[in-house]
Amino acid sequence: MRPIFKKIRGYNRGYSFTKFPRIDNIEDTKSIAVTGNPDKNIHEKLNFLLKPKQTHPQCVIKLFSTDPIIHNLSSWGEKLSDSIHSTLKYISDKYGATNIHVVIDKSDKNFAGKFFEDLPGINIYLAPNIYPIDDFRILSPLILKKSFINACENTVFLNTKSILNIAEIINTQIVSDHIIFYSDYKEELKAVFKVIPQIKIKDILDFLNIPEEEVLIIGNGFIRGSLITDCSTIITDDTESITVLRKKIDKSVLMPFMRPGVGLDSYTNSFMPSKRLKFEMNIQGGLRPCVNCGYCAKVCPVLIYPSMLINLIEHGLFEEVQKMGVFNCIDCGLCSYVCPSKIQVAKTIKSGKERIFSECSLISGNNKL
Amino acid sequence: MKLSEKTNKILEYRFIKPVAGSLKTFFFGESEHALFAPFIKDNIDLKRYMVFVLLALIPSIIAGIYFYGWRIAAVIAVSYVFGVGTEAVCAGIRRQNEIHEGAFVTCMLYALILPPTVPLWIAAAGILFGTIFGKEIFGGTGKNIFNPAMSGRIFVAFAFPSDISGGWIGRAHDATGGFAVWVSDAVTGATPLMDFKSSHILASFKDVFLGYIPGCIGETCKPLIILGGIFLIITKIADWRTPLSFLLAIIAGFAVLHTADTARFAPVWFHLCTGGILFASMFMITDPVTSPLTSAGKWVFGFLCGIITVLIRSFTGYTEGVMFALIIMNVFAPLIDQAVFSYKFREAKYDS
Repeated sequence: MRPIFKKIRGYNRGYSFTKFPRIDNIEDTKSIAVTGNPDKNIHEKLNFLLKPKQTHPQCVIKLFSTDPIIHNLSSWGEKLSDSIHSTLKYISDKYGATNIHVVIDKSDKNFAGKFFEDLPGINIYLAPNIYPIDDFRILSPLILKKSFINACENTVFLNTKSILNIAEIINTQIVSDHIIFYSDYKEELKAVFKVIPQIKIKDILDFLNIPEEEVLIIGNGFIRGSLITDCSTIITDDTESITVLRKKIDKSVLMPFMRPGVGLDSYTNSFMPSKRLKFEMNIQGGLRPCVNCGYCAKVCPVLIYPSMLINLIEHGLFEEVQKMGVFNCIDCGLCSYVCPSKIQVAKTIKSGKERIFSECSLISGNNKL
Repeated sequence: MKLSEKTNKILEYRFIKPVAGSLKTFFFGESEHALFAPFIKDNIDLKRYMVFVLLALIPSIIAGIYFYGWRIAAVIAVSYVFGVGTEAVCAGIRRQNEIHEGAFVTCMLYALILPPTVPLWIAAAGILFGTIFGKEIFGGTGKNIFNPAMSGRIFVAFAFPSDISGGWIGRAHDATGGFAVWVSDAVTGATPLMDFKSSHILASFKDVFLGYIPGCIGETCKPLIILGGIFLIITKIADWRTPLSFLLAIIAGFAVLHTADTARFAPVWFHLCTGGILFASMFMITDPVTSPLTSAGKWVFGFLCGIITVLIRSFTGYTEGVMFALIIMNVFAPLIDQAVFSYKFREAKYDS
């Protein structure tokens, strides 16, 4: 029986990173592109799943990611697909197929036709590849038609990682591994390989013959990750990926701002970067004051006004900041991404939130999230 | 060795540094690593942002030279020398590393809304006023309340009324237009708006639309202005909401007035194609700094701006109302935003 796909509509915010390379051709690299970090709450989630049925219980499973360098369903390889498939079958038998909502990437539609053939009744949604639609706080209103907070009471949210963890628990065998993505400044994915936890980043660099001082290492992806300055850091359960980029970009581009073009890999439709500029993590242009252009507000997935928030945070008006919905922020970082003045919007908002949390007297009342 | 040290020292000097830094980053793309997430950045930066406005203005500049001769280039040059010069000095005072790019757009916009025969010293005085009092005293780029180009224009309109309002000339009538002459030799005349206000003469649609009328340098040739505006909207540099709501308000306002009293009030097409309405709607109102941030605010801002323009043009002694309307609405832009915020976030009840 062919599965019926539902489309996710009504989401036109965020930003599509479709121009970025994705690991579609997993056979070439002979490895599996899913991290095997255990989900800390997996036992709670499993218990929730197996508990006697509550009123209208729901289970939302997300089998895709919109982060720039990440996998999609068809790229998982046979071994993981089988595990995911068996887990889905297990959950649908125990939980009731109609209560299960599986979200997959739009590009996985053909693959999913076979994948979901013997899982009748499961709700399958095709998500557009718009970052950060894969965040449950964005996804749950679109699928369940109620906000994340309301949905949390009787819904369990699972991602690929949790599904693999459940597969490990129910089959008592290890199916996932720690995987490291390694890409260099040429924008190509060089290698995807497994590492054992507790290995030092230094050892990986030595293995790849990369001189430590020439590169910058980013943990957990370009958008939400952080810079790893100490190469003796060990790979832990929280490390999903490391990306190695050349430190010194010794190309100076002649008048780079004079490259007009339409519809090419920029939020504004206004610039045609040369291909090699794409993956450099340099700031094009220096820091400038905010010019109120409103790109951050237009791209923000949770409908807040980042440029106003940073203004208020800088002036220490934390009550106003809370009123303006700062706790709706999901730290997606798109505001920093699109900012033409290159202001660290997301970082400022994050620090503002932390400050409000630390000043406990301010945390009272209804903050929505 | 000694020479390079000396050069470096000069380049580090407070008032030289911004200019040197700007030139450097103008010609060679800067490569600086982001040290915080997100590590990739969009390719738009403020330089590109501003350059796109200048690209959109190029047709209007060429049309200005074609209509009124090469003197236009001199006006633009004077505006740039004094405007960017002031900006550079202020950048030195503030110890910036670079001149902020907004000044380059301000100077061009200001030059394009001057009459073609404006004395060069008046052009210089206007841009000095506009840059200093319209922008720098508020703290520079991004912090100004008023549109600096419009403030400069209003200043010259009030300070030198005879030089400004007497300076209207028609287009050059040579085969090559104004490309072969310094300044158009056409007789000084009144703008179509003045003509209508004083003696109710309507210019023909073709003349006002194509710009064969006396008027400000960049404001006469309507097709090219529309072209530039569409370019800005497609590239998302300008938001489409403000110009649309502004033009809708203008159309609605003048349609009502014209229907009420056909003899006293000119038809809609005449008002749309004369004066600075189209130019302002594409390039002035869309200035992000002095217009509201919120989408709803942009609709309100544009609409009120249009209504005020209609009122000033129809019921006051002034023939042109756009610049006053814009400056008046600039003041209200933060208030409009505040109103939108308090409406949007009203549900988030907060007890302290």
